Amino acid sequence: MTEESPKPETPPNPAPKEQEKDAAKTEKTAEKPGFFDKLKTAWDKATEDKDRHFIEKVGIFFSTFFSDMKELNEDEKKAVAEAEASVKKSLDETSKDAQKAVELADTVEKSDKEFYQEVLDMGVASLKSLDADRQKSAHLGLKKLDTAVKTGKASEKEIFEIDEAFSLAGVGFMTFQKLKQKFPNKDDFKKALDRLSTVSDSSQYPLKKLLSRSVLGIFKVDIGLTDVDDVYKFVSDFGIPVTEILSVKDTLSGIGAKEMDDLQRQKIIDTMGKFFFPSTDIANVGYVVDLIRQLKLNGTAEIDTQTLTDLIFHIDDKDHSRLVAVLTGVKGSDEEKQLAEAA
Amino acid sequence: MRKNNWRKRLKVAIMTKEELKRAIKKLLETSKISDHLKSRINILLGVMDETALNNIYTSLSTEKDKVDKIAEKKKRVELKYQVMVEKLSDMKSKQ
Repeated sequence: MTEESPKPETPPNPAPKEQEKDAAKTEKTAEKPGFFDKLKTAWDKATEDKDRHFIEKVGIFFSTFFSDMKELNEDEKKAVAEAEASVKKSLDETSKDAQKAVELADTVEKSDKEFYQEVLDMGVASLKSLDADRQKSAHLGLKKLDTAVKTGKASEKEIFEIDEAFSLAGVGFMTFQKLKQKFPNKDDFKKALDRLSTVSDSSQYPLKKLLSRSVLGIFKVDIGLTDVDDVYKFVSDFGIPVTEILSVKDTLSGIGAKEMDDLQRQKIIDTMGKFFFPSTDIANVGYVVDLIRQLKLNGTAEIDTQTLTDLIFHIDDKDHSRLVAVLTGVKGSDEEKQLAEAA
Repeated sequence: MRKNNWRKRLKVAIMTKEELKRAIKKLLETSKISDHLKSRINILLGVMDETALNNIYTSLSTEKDKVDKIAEKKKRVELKYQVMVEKLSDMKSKQ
């Protein structure tokens, strides 16, 4: 026996009620004309009656209204300007180490100055994220770098100690990583580097000079007997077994050899991939190896922005963070946190 | 106003560094300071010392108080003139 299912009750059509509501609303609106409707009606009547007094009065009301609003807008601008001045003071105090570098020629446009300042802030943020000892080393390194930039070359006496080189290289890598976070597109990143390079020409520290072979010579670390612990830590942080240190060193030193066969090239790529760039695609490691080789062999006077961009975009972010962690002790998570904050 | 300043200083004094950072980020969402300064704050926020954080927080929250008050005043002024012009228009229409 099939029971006839009861017909579902048709829900009451909400439309009429809605329509009623809408109609009531419209009626209400129609009943109560808006401010401008009222004004228009009165204005039309005043025009018809040739009532100049009404028009004058409305004019006075509006001009007083706009003058009051203008005053309030000025007050708002003043409040914002006061906040900006106070905020800028605190920011400049935080990045006072870099303020000398910020001094740009008056001819530099405001937007370029601001861009340059932001990149320098990234450098300051990177430096200040190091522990106290490493910050001290980085500062000492910066002093030497300062001399090298002024004289145009690294003097024998001013060559970095190992901890200075590690700290400063780490700060450099972190700064570029922050810049990459801001410009994740390769072309945009290259444009940003070009802009940085052009603007920095008007400063005491032109990027071209900083990346010149003669200045970068300062990174040829003078490793003394006291540095054995640092070297051992560096090597073990990269996971290179003590027994393999010499073979890894031999393999990598071959990167600048004039003659190199495919087997040697592959060995270098494998070694670099295994210990330094484990997360980077092996083809990209090959690209990086070839790039470093070209730089070594061609004796280019400086690392140009295209080469720098290529290097940064061919290395995986994880390997980049690992390199920074080994050089500076700033772990990936700390760095990622900072990058997220900067973004 | 003086009472408010005293309260604000007390509030800042008991805030931790992390709380200050969060509060600054929140204030930045509505602040009218330039994008450049906002960007600089975001870059340096992670490494600022407590004094700098306190100063920035106080500056931004003072700005917010002032701007909010001005916005209220603007509303009141707008309403005042609207009512006056409306009354005038009503009178004219009824003539």
